[in-house]
Amino acid sequence: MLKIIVKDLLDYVDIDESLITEDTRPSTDLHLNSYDYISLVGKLEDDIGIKIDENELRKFVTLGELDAYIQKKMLE
Amino acid sequence: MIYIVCSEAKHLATADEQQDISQRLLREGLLREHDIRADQSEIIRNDWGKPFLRDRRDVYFSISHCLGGAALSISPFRTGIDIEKIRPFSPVTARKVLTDEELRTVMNSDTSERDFFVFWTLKESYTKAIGTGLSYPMKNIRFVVDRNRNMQCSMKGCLFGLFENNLGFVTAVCYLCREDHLEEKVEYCRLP
Repeated sequence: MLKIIVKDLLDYVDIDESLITEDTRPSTDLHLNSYDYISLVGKLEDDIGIKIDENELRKFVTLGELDAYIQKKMLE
Repeated sequence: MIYIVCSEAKHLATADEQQDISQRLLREGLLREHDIRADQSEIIRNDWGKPFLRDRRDVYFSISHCLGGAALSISPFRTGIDIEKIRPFSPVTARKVLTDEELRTVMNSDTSERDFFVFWTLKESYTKAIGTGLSYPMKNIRFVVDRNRNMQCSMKGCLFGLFENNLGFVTAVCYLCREDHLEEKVEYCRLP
């Protein structure tokens, strides 16, 4: 799942893919702004077919945490 | 007071450059407006990440950056600011954040990209002013904006400003206050 997140993320940040890990923090490390972040979430929803609750977003500090949330949602 | 830096695309292209110019704006703005040295003032954040000065709760500020631009608002009122470069937008994102009426306005407009980012920056400035950022559902706040940039907002107790320039940037600022009108000073800064 992290691979899909990274693939979609690369539409919004100009960074070497190999530098993105599950510990990467979208806001702090990649300086993703709010528009980029909401757009990324929308793209992930389309690609994966789940609904991500915006209210949950602030709980995710790292991509690994977002990854874990998405995997849990897919099992629901 | 609002400080805005806009540049051509070749400048402020990386996240680090944008972050750097935002911090410079903040340092210079606090010094000019309140004689506050940022390196001697501890910045703390609320649960949603909104920054405050620990020892100067009478001074509110908000910073924003995007590809090619950065903006700072310093105010005696709680404030939020957002700057975006007008560009193609994601329809998925538009459906997530705009009300049905706002979406119709954008889709039926000859200037859809501009209109989308007007709505986006207004909504984002509000969520930053109240201090919750993305946790606040953007559809909960509704705007009607006419061609002359006159706007009506569904929320009470807030005042908005909207600024555009010929480099294709739109900046919105929100103040949480009971005033009917504020004299806003806007300074467009050159890149150092």
